Amino acid sequence: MNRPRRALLSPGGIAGIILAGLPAAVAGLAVVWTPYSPVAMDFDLRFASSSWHHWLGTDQFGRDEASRLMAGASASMLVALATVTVATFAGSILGALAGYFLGWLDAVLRLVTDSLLAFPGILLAVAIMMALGQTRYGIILALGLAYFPTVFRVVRGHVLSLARREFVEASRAMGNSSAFTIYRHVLPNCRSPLIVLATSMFGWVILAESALSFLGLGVPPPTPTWGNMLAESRAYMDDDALLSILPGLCISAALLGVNLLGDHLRDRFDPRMRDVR
Amino acid sequence: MSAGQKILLELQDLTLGTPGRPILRGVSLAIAPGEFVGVVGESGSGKTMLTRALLGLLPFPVQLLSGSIAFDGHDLTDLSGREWEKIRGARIGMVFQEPMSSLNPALTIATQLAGGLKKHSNLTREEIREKCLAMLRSVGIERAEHCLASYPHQFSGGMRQRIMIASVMLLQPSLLIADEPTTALDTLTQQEVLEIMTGLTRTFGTAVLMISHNLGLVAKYARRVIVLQNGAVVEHGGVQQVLRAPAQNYTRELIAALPARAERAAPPRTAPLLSVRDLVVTHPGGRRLFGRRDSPVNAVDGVSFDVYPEETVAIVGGSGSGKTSLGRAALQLVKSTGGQIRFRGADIAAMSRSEYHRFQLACQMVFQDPYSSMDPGMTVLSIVDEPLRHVPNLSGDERLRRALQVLEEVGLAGFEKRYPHQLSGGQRQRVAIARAIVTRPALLVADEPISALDMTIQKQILLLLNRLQREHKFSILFISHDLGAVEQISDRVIVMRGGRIVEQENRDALFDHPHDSYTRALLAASPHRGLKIETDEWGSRS
Repeated sequence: MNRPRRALLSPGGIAGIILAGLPAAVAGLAVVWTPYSPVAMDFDLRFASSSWHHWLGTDQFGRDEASRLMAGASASMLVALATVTVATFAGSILGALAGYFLGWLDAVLRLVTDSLLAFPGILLAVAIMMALGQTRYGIILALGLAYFPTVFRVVRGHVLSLARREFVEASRAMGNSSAFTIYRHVLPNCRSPLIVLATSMFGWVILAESALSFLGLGVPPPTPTWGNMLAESRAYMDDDALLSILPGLCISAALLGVNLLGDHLRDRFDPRMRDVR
Repeated sequence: MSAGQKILLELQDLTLGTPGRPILRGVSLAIAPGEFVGVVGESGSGKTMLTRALLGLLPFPVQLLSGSIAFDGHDLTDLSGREWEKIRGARIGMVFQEPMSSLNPALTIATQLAGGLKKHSNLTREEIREKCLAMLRSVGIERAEHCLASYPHQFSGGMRQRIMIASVMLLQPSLLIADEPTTALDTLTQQEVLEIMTGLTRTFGTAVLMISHNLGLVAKYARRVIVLQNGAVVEHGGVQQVLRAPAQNYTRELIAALPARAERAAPPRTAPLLSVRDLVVTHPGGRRLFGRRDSPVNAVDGVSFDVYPEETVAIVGGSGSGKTSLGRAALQLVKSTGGQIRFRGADIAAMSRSEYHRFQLACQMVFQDPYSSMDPGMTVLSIVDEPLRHVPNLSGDERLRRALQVLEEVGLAGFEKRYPHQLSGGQRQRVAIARAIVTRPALLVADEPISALDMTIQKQILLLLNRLQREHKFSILFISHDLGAVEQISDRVIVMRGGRIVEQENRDALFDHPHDSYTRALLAASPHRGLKIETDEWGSRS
């Protein structure tokens, strides 16, 4: 069985790292430095085209588009990352508990998540946002609550089939506690579906945040996110199409990158996939 | 075969595989109409590819490289898809290994049985139905009408395999290919299904090509046998001739792997290690639509027995006899609902936390399926090391040394960095045994530890268990439906049926003078019985 080891990085993995890493690096940079303040208006310079001073031109209020995209990257990424983390942790822990112990715990958790799933995610987020008030953390909580039932479902289903496998029984046979068994044997084997789900969720969250911004319920202006930039520019599509195209491109590129990276990570982490060429 | 006799199927120098990597190499064989030929080979010998080639169903990169397949005077090597469809089912039928997955769960039995007749004949609906009913009755299904309206999940493995045989034989093919048709079934069911299959094929004059890893089974039914190793025919001849005077080492090895009784030193009779009294295990009834539950079933119903130190006690029975529940309940992996279990004289229900912990540490388990009993994400070393976290006062260095030493004992030195998917079935079962003995247990519960393995590997695992038992002096509770294995390894045998013990006896007494009719039926169904072959008891290896 001495197959040649697979190269550390597949072409898809490299593309994923570049496409997802670039916006992440820019987002990091934007926290400390942007060429201009992303909220400083200059009414003499509305809809300026790209120039030496303003690389990507300016928007309807004369704000520097490049600075806004950079700041938007950090806002969008932060919301997406935090939301995905919240949803994944809550969903996978509760899902593993429900799928492993079944019984009344499972019945209660399923009732709750099924009720949450019965609402369209956006509608739910809108309702929660109304209740919580329009802050950045409100969005994270609202979207996290809207998306965790999906994670719960996936993990619970996966754990159901895992718990019947003999290695879980073997773990109990050697005297391991339930908590250790879940932590050591059950959750690690949920990694593949979780990575795929978390990366696609990253995409949904960025889009959902744009949709909320479009409805005026997202991250409150003037703080730029890719979503609310896209929403605001809609009215000026005829004047300056680039204002819509640029944030759109950023969203698409980041999503593609994150998904490629997710596939790559899944293949790397699953020992059964390592020998497959 | 005498000259001039008609030949139904003839393979000449058949070589297939991917270019440069042949799977079958120069296989030649001939089958006369109505003949029963057995092919014996282990996993990886290419026997499954042989059956697929005969049906024109080779999986994508594999192709015929050279040689010919002649069936009833026609060359099968370059048929078009359309022409194959006329042969498959109608002329060559196939019974698959896994009855649980070879029937479509979404269709009624009637639909699945009628499918072939609809395609290959011009019968009316009523005629088809009549034929299906008649065929179901001839495979021993009494409520045939009821069966036609049912779905596959309503039947046991043995019944499904009967239905599978019925569906294939409905078309009265000239050749029936049976690929490990009974490997997934218990001994009694295995015999019933094979009797039905041979009876039906004799009635219709159908030739049979039966493929199995079990030489004993093939020898019981076939007239001629072909031994396949690494894709080449190594032995070919009449069954008796091959068994009595094998020409090849490999065949001798296969014959040596046939179960035979081995001498066992009597274990010292001291106080029992484990005593089970009136044990009851209840399974809640299945939930029906709208929450009503079926009445609960006693899987184990008042069972009492003792296991003494250094002793191997076998628990034997068919599927559903409660033997698996009994083994699980002895380790409290499933909760018992009644009775008492004493370990070294102490009632485990009354044990303190730390005493119970010691009980758990002293009792380890080897599971049936080596493909699912190990966490796929862990290396061999971490799998074997894991139980040691419950052993008190063990430093990291000692843990590592102990794990490596046990791996060496089971013959897997140097495998510690592998993952389970990189190991063969036999190697995985060795890892499972290493994991079970690493804590130096006093009792090993082995639930069908060899039934998923090839015959020669089964023998090796039994030898390994035997040797480890001699060295480490643990007791084994050996749960199996395979009386051959039980005869080799056990000191005492407990026969179970319907959750109760029907007979409990020393091995030699039980095998030589069985009292209960169920025990006698089990013994009669075991393929290794009645094959009188002279071999030294444990083969040459140890």
